[in-house]
Amino acid sequence: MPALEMSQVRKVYGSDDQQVVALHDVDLTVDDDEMLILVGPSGSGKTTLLTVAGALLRPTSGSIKVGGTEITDLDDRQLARFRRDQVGFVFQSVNLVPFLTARENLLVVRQFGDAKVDARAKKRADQLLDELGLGGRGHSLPSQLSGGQKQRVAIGRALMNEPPLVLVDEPTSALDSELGKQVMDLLRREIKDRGVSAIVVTHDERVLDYGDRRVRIVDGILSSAPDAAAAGATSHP
Amino acid sequence: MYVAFKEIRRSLGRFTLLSLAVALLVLLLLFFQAVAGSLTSGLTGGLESTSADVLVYDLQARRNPANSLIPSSVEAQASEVPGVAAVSPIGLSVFTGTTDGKELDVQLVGGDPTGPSMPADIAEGRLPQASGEALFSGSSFDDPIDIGRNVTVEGIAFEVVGTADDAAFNLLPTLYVPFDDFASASQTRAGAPIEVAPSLLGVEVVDGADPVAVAESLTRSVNGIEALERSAAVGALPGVGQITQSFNILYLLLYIVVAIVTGVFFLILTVQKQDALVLLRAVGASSGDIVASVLMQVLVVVGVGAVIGTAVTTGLLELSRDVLGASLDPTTTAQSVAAIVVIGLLASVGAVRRVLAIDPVQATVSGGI
Repeated sequence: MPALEMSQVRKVYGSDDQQVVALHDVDLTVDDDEMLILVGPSGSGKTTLLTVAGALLRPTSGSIKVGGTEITDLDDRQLARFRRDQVGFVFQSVNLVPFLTARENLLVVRQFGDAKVDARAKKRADQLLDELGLGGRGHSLPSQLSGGQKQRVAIGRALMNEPPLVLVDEPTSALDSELGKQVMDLLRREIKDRGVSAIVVTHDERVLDYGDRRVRIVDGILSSAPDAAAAGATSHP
Repeated sequence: MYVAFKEIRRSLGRFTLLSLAVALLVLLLLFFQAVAGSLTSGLTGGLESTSADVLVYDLQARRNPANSLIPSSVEAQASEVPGVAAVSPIGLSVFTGTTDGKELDVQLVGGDPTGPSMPADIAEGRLPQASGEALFSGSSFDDPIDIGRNVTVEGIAFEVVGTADDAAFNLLPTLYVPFDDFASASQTRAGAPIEVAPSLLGVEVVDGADPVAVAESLTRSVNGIEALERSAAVGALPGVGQITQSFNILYLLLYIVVAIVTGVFFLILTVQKQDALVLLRAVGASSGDIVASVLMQVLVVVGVGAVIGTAVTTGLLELSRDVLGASLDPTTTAQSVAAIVVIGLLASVGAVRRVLAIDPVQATVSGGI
């Protein structure tokens, strides 16, 4: 079963003559253990696609299945639970809760709804921090971490709940070349080691070769990038 | 809750400051309540604690005991009214007395020790039974006069044989004495054997009778009098309403300040951590999770402030017991603290609305942390 299936997904902002179509009847499938790179210029709809796939935004029409579950029918509470359990997010800006330590930023996703921080969760957080090279920084606040370290903590949080799908938005935009490479190496290794699927949105040329497949989006229309392998992404404008 | 407590721990300074601000407001509120309670108790205690169910005034007195004089014929007429079980004269006047060589103003209350004119509850000792005996009750501002001590009033030496709590009149040391002794003291002060009329009549109603109905019946049946059920008589005492109203305005202001301080603090806090809350919503927190977290912080901060305020007030009142003689009433304190907590929670509505307005999609466009 594919990790993500988007079928005829359309997202329109505004109303009447002020309408802007951000996604044009997008069809996209991401297989298990596949790392997909989504590229496109600014304003092309990359982030909209990511937010719709991650249940942060409801599509205007179309179907989205994550792990076989149709998410367009879920109410707000169910969507929150879905985001907690089924999706890991790494946002463009280094998004950490400033008053929580690195370790607590990982554990925080186990605090919502009926989830809880138990010994297993703590062990997993410590293990993730070790794997991310942050074993000694678990008790540091975000303000005490470098940009690369913060991004690694964000990756750890995205993986904390063992989601089948990880969505990553411009992971290297705030990092220099060396840090960017380190973070992408780490991200690919963590995702591949765990066998999860991922969509990495970027316009950073350095990132393009990290994926299994590359898809281009322009004006809300998907197309396979020239050097991409097999197809799997089409749009119907 | 995890996030709520972690944030408090990491920002202990600012949360402590708010708790101390709430504690200060609670201190002021409880302190005012204790002092107001002492003041009003010193004024109203005599009527509040009387065993009389109904009090009869001279109609011209307009419910002021100090202006009331009941003609001697009224006592017999009142006794005939249906629903009346017993009637007792109550004489009220302020005298200068001496005890242990010191002069002091004394409120003398003359009555029938076996009738409805004495305090219903005795703290220590017994009611006066013979001439020259007295029951003492002081306001919280007075030094107590213990059982066995004498107070001389107009040449009559009264031995204190019992005490009652919160049964003083006019914020003065109060002696409950037999009516004949009261009359003798009044005549000695006047320098002539004048007829001494009671200020009020105390009425005990028969079992099962409604004191309000009996009071109305008395007012209708006997010319020139007005009868009031006990609690109505207490509320009509001169000055009590004004004192209560003045303090109520102070309480209201303090409650408003609590609401503003708490509301503004948590609203600013919510705005300041907007990005963090957006992030939490994006990674799986429901609106309910975040609202519960904010409310828990309000509860902790205001609750801790209330506990500190109550503890400090208790200590201060204990230290000033000799001066003010005031203390906290547990029921009033519990109600006030509960009101402060509820007001704090209600005042956080601005912060809660802000939380409910958060759209998790903002995580993809926010400036980051």
